[in-house]
Amino acid sequence: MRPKFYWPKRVLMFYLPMILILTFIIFPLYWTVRTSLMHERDIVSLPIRYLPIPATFTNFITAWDVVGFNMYFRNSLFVAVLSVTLVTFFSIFVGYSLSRFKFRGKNAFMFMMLATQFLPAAMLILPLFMIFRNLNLLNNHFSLVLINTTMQLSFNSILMRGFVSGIPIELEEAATIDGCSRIGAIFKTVIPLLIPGLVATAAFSFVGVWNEFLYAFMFMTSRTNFTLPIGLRSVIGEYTANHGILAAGSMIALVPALLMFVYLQKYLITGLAAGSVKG
Amino acid sequence: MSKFKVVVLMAAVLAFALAFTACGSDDEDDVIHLTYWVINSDPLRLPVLSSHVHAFNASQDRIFVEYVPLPQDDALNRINMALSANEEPDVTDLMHGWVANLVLRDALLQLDSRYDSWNARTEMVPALISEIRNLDAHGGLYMLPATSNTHTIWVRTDWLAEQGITNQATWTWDDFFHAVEAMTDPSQVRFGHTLRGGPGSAATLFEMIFSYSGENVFENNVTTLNSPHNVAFIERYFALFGEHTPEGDLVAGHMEITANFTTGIAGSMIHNLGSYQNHADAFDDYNAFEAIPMPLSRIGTRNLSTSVHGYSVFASTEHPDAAFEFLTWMINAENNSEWNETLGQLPSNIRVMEEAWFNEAEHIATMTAAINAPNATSNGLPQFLPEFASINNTIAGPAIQEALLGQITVQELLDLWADALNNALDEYLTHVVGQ
Repeated sequence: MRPKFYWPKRVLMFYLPMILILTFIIFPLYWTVRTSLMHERDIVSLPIRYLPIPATFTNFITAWDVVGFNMYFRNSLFVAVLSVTLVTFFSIFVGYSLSRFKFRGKNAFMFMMLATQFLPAAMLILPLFMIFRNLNLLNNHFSLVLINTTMQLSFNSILMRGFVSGIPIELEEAATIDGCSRIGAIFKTVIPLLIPGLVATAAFSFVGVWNEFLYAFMFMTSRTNFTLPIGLRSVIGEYTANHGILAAGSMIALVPALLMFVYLQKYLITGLAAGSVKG
Repeated sequence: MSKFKVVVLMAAVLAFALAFTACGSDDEDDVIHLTYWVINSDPLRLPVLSSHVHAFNASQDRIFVEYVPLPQDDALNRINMALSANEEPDVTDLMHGWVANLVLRDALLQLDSRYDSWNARTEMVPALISEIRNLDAHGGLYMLPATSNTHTIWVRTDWLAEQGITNQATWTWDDFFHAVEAMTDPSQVRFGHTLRGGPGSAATLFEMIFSYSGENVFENNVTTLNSPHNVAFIERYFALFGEHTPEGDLVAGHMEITANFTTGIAGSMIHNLGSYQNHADAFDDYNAFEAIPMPLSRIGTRNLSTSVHGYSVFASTEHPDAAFEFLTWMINAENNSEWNETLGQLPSNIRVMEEAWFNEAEHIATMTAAINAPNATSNGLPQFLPEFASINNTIAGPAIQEALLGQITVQELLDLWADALNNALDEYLTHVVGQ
């Protein structure tokens, strides 16, 4: 038997705030979808149309074929997948070391890793440009992979440290007693239990790499190597912006991240919570 | 893991990394490769420019041009970074306000010798060539013009007609203010004007001030920007904010004011001819809007600015002759016509002015008539000052917002701005001109 005023209270204190917050979050997304499906003339005309009627997929076709979002998407995907793979792989071992090993200067090392996050990206452009030029890596996606991996590794390693700390060391000891080497124990006992943490790390780093604009803009010198953020920025001109193509391009850029989060949300929530339990 | 395995693993990683660096691209054929940075890369402009590049490549087999479109807002940062790292392209298009700074840094190739021996140079509009030469203290030519622009007042002709106003072609600034107040109708959510308080605000306000005053920017090496009559003019203009303009104009850039105008929120906006296509796309009826030149100044002249965009060659290019040849292709009559017809702006090639689209475009005819009128003057925007753009963006821009919010007075705004300009002119005369 529910208490008196259960539903009024529930609506006022839970459902109503949730609807308001959801509206605040969802509205920009809805507006972008609606804009991407409208003709340019209809987008800027009054009265405002809240539904894309008449709808058109021209913006998507133009963005993909004419503007070059097919190229940009492919480039972004390549850079993101490779970077995330490397970040996830290396952060396991860095995080494990920070969690399990005691060594002199450990805290200072962790602080230095965090300190790298304080540097504005713009400060590093010129020295990195010259380094990559000397290494013949300009206009090469591997330069973006290198820089993104480096930039993402510090924070994700510290994140991974938290996840590893949440796994009882007794499991590794048991594996060692059974004849596993340390590496074997890591792969057989730690990593299977680390999957939520790996997913959280991968998702976090994917978003960072997927949205990265500055280094891609400065290091890629030909249009065929541009990534999605550059492509989106290029749609805004000196005096004009094609809002339909911009919205369609934004939707194209959104799809992988959206699919990833929809599929992995279960692991993400578990992983983020697990990482917060033990630090 | 044994030490040996660790060493082998590290060696493999190192080899893998070094393999990345082996990806070079050396061109071994005899074709000259030029890199052209396009700063106008939006979906309206890029297809036109890219078609011209493709046509150039197809027309001959000695030179191949690769174009790289850059987002316009970030292009200057990219150029500056490239200059710092000695990685400039061969050719770029440039905005008027960028040239002086690049010339001062010896970044651009002087084109005089090649220009003087170019047979088609007589097709260039002489005033635009002069305008570009003014950007260099010694009168050198560092850019070939592709288009020119001037600030105008875009106005809703239908709204004016509702108020019985039909004399907009001969407006004074008083007439402008009265029209703005007349067009404001809160019951219909209509504002008479939308002002630019965000990015680009300083450049627009600067044009307006000297359009009103009719004076030169500098008299006896001191700016006239903060003269008492200019203060009064801007106080009257800023008084429109919030009552006859949307409050959101505090942070409005060109996209926002264009949106306000084309969606029927505002009856007028001040911008250049470059937004013509936005208005044409938005309004079904071409009679609903028009471009009118900046109103008559307080001394009866019509002070008009000229902003030139064009193509330049970087001094570091290994192929200056090929680069210049490409420049001349981009501004030949056919390409210049298509480019300016797309933009709705004034061409740099005299032959284009004989074409039908040029003579039939009402807004261009209006501007051309105003420019050629006997009472027309040029307010000589100090684009030759290398710091002019940065003064506008970093000093005047934020101060304009403070003045709109009432945090500083208009006198304080113009004094601050004037001090910066005077200092910049002193530096220029001392270190560049050598006075």
